[in-house]
Amino acid sequence: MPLRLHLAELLLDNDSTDDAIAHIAAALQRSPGSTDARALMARAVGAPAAPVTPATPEPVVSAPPAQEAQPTQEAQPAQEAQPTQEASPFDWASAERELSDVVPPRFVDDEAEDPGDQPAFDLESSAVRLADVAGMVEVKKRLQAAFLAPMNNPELRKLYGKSLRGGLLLYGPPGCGKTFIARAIAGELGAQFIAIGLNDVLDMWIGSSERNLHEVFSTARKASPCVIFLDEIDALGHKRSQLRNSAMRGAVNQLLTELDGVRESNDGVFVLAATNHPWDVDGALRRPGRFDRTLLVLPPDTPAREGVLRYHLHERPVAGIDIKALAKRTHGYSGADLAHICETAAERALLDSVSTGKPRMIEMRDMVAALEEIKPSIGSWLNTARNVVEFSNVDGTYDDLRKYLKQERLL
Amino acid sequence: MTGTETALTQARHLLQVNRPDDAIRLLTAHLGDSPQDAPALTLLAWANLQLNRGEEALRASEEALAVAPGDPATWQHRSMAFRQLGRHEEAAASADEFVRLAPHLWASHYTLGLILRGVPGRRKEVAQCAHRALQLAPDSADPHVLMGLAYSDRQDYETAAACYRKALAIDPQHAFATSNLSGLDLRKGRFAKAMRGFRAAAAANPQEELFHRNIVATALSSLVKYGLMIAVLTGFAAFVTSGAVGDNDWVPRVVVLGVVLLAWCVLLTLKLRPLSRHLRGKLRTAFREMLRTKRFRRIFAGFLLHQACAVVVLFYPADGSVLPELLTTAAMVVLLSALATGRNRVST
Repeated sequence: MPLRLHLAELLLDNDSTDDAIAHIAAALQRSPGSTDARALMARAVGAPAAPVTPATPEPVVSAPPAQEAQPTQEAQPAQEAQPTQEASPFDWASAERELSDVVPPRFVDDEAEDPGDQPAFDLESSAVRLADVAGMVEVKKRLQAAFLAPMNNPELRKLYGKSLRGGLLLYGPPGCGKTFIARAIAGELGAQFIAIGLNDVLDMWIGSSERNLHEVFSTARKASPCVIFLDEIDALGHKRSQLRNSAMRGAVNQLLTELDGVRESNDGVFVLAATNHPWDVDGALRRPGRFDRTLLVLPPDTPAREGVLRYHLHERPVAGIDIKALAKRTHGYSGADLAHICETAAERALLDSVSTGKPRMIEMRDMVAALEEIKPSIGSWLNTARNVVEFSNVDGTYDDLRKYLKQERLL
Repeated sequence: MTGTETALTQARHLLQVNRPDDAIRLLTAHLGDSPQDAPALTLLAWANLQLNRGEEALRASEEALAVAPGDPATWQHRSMAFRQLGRHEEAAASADEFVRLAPHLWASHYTLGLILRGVPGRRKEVAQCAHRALQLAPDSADPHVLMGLAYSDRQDYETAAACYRKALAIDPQHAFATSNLSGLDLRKGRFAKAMRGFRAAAAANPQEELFHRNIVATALSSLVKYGLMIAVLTGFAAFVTSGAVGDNDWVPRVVVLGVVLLAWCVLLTLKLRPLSRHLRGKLRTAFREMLRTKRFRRIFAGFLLHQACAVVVLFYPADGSVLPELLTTAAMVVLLSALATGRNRVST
């Protein structure tokens, strides 16, 4: 960036305006917020220069500084975030129109609005509580012991010297309620909730993924108490030894830095992560002070299945459904599978109603037919988990999982 | 970053982190808007390759090549798709094109070498490909492994082992180098060492089915070898006991039979117990598959005949008849001839 801008400046000095504009445009494309680049562009197109902030070292791939892109929870006004735009008499809108064939729009999907002024990550207040999680008594107990009790009892925590450092890693088969539990934890803590996935972080430009991660943590620190929930942490914090893309290795490093930063200087930020593939998570993320507590979230037990079925049927017209019998027959089904069964049964009743011309309730026969049609979806996950437990569980990390697999006679 | 770039970046990353299903979802949605996007089609081919869906991978790579025929990566995917489908000649032709387009990439020579192992008329070129790949990437473990495979195919096992060791010096976690080296140990009858190696390979890459099969093959080979030893000793013990004890003296005969049964129990416990339920299931399948081979059927028939003879000899009254000697000798000949053709082999 600095080199390109310097070259553009030299070209301008030599009256090679077109070449200079091309270089500045390229620089602006990479770093639309660069005041140096904007000033040079203004000079190149003959407009009065916008006020330039004192020169600061440019990052390799510059973007609007974190503070600009990520206002605090109280939402700073846009004019405060980007004072140069307001102070400058230069008509940026018309300049951008003139240069539209040189500088492509920043955001293809939404040209009218610059989301740089909007909070990049949604802060939610979770109304879900652990009591809303049906069944899963063991999971709740472990959550209470490993996470919630120390969080909710600061004096006792102090007395016993229990540290709050480190996050909690939820792992288990897909569709079994990890995200729901994370929301429930946020609800229990009365904290804001930020859910982050790969899409929110990954960016093709070098340094941008790291910046995005930093922004997530900055937002959470400002909104403290806040729970950051990193979904699919295996994609975000994959084993660096298996990553050929150095940019993503940088993102893992950034995540480590942010987690350590949480530990050292940010009270009230609780980091939860979820994954279906904990064995793919970089070992450094599992070290003490990071995700050093793990919780296996298994397919719902019988009471949980009853709860899930009830939840998915409670707003539907049902008659004569034997929830207990269904819960018994759905051993090994995930929560998502159970939702699918209810959906399929409803679909069946609807089609029947359409064909007969007479609406009817969802009955047990619809549920049974749906049950016969839909098989548990976690089989492939269990096979993968079995291979890991069988060959790679040298340090006992997956002893919980081993126990479950033995119970299910899969190992 | 545009929507296209975002989708492709994410898909590429998902493939790097072994999540082809998610990548396919993303790419399918993207290709719905831009069905002719060659990079997306190439990534789709890669994703399907990861899922061992050769047909789909081939289709995606063909579509990508129709749009961008000069993309080396697409030729690579096409060749690997053909390989997955067992169409080795066509795979080799695509890999040749990959090498032609990207002779500077070690991966092109490596891919060609891997594929040529399956083309009978061109196996001699495998070492050449490995050599070129090594010239371009001497610090990569994979070309060393390919070189090891080339030597192994030529039955130069010592040099092959040296190549695998070089690969392991570069990447101590290289699962295939570990597995292939263990395969050479198994060939030498070092069952315990081979088993340790295969388990280490499986620990490095637990999802690789090949390593599971090799563990099962090692257990089975070991079981067969020691089972045959017990069988030979059983015959010998039956012959000696039958001649040494009186016609109505049944106690020593029952004791010998008991010892033999005990030996079998110990052997089965030692060999099968370390295997998980899932591997024992694979072992049963492997045993059934082995029974379909002529060589193993001969060994198994020899074993059964020998054991039947041993029981007959053990309980046959020693009244001067030559039947026990004839039976024992015949069974031993069958057994030894079957054994002589037996070798321990695993997949590489």
